[in-house]
Amino acid sequence: MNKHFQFIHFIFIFFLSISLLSGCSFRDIDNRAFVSAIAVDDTGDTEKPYKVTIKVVIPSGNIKEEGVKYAFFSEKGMSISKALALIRATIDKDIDFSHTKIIVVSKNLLDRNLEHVTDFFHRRRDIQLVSWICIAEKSAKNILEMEPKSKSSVTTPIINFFNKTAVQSPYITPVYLFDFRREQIETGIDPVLPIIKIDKKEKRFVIHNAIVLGERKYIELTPQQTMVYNILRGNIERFNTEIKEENGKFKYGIFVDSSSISYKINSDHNKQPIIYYKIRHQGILEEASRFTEAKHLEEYGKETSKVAKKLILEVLTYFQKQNVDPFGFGLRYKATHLHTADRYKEWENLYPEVRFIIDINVNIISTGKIE
Amino acid sequence: MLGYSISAGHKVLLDLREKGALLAIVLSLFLGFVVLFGFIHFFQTVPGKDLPDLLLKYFPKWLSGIVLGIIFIIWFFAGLISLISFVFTLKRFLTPETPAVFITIIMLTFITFGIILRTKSILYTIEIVLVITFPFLILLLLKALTSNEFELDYVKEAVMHINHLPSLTAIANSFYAYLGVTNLIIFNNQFQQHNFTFTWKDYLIAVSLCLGTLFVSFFIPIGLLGYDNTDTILYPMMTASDTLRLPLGIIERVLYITLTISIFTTFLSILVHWHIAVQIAKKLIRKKQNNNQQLYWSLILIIGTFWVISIYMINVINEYQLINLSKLFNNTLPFFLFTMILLFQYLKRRAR
Repeated sequence: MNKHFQFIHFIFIFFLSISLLSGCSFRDIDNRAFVSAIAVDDTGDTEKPYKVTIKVVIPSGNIKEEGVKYAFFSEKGMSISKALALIRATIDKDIDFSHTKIIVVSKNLLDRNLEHVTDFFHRRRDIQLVSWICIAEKSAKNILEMEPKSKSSVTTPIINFFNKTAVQSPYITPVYLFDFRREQIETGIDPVLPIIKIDKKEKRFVIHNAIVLGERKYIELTPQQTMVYNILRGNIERFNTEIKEENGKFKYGIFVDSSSISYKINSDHNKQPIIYYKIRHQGILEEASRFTEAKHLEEYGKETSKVAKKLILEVLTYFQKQNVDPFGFGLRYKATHLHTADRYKEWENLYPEVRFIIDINVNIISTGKIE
Repeated sequence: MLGYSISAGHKVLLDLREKGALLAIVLSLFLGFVVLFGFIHFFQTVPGKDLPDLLLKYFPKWLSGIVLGIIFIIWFFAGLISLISFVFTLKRFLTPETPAVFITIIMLTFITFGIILRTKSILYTIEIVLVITFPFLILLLLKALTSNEFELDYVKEAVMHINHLPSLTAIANSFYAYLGVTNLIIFNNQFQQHNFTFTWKDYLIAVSLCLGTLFVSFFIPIGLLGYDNTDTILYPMMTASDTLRLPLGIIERVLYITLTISIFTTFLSILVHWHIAVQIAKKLIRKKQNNNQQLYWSLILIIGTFWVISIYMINVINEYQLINLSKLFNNTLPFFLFTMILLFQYLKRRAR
């Protein structure tokens, strides 16, 4: 072994041992306060417009003995980071955002540019881009602090509404943080966010509505419209719908368990542009007000198609009239036309003239366990 | 693929997506093939010899000194840029509280150890790392492409911008993905006898792998982060992997899997580049004096210089400058490499 090689070896071992000596730069887990949700409210004050509330879960050594501890901290500030810095000074632990799953923004803040509000969450590296963002009807803080009667764990119960492993409902519109940003920045598609309300009497959350954030305006959707939006967007595949008789009484209900939806934009020159929807649903009868007969299944399917067609057309024309585009027709137009001109501008002129054609077919394959 | 996704190359391409990046990717296929063919064809005719050997044999000393000096600097810079980009990525995503210099020192320690390994060991290291990372790469790829959030409309929109003429920067940056073969200038001395010849099929596989890398690192960020949004993002590939989740996996955030694997691949990339730089320096010094002791001291000096420059650069440079630096570096590469292929032709004639 050469002398100089020994010297090099010595240097290696020396530096390796240095790297071991310094230990890890991470803080211990008992010095961390894990933030499970963040709420941003509007204070109405121009100097300190943001009120930030965080739900902090405090790690404990033994869950059985000590129970699970969590706490809420809130502070006002000129910016979100300023408010969080103030909160940081009030907790004896280091705030850790890496487990943040929910970001609730108060509806009042929509008047301001929501992009500025969410900027902080995108810029910070430790907030997951797969956390969910939602709008609070009134106070975002109350939503965090609400304990529903079905409460089961310390994690924010709203997670279960958005995480499809628990609740699956056509009325809920789960939106990831990154999804929100890409749709907001992209021209030709408008983001849709779910709205959370609190039913104080019953102690539960109500997430039936959604809100479309168009350019400089926002449109709140009814539960019915939210459902149609979610179905057409492919957010949900399983849902039920009911068919009424002419006098408004319930006739039968259908549970759809698989659906395929696609659309095409047909825009020849000098012609009215057409959006051609092709929808195929497959489902079973779920409930009926009288005896049903298996031989009439096709009839039921046709009837349902007719009702659904009307519903969908209503929603599509409603969006068209309001000049918002939550389905991303503009994006599709850009994606199917070679970029030789400003395609988005073209689409902006075309969109109000678009005619929708819906080809829907509901295939009912069973009447359920009974006829 | 991940090595490329750490480098600023794909960031630059994504920034240029409305200025002909896609066409540049397609065009780079031909350029890349020329380089691939030029290098492999030449080095197959001289088995067991590396470029410094050949140059010193057929060229006057001063000329080969200059050529090798340029190669040394370029390979050193390639390693340096990977190192800095990687330290920045690590600092941004994995260990924000650790000082950048500290991360650099840890990386450098291990790299230094790797650099002075024998060339054969380096080749084995590459093989092992490839075997370890390949399954994860496939997993990440499938995960990204089968994700519900992967919107085809954004990708199609990007394809619709194919009609723009590419700029030099776009071509150079897509060309960068094909340059792995240039490491043959040293590694060729390990291939004493060529048991296999590189057939058309092998060329096809090599070129399509590179092209696949480019497409993946171009389209996955666009599909996941949106078309208009991608240029607002500094680390597109890393951020794109953060949009994926494994709801029932051991680690929910795919980002951390990507980071861990990219540690392997980037480490390898720096290792290979600097190993070649050091080998070239070694050959140059050995030719001048046969004194072993002096060789070792100058080796220590060279590696010491690597350390000093890297630590200095980490402190001085910021992210914007880094992207510009790598843009500049990548832009010079095509000219340099095509000169090198011409040089090979000359060497071949000379050897005859």
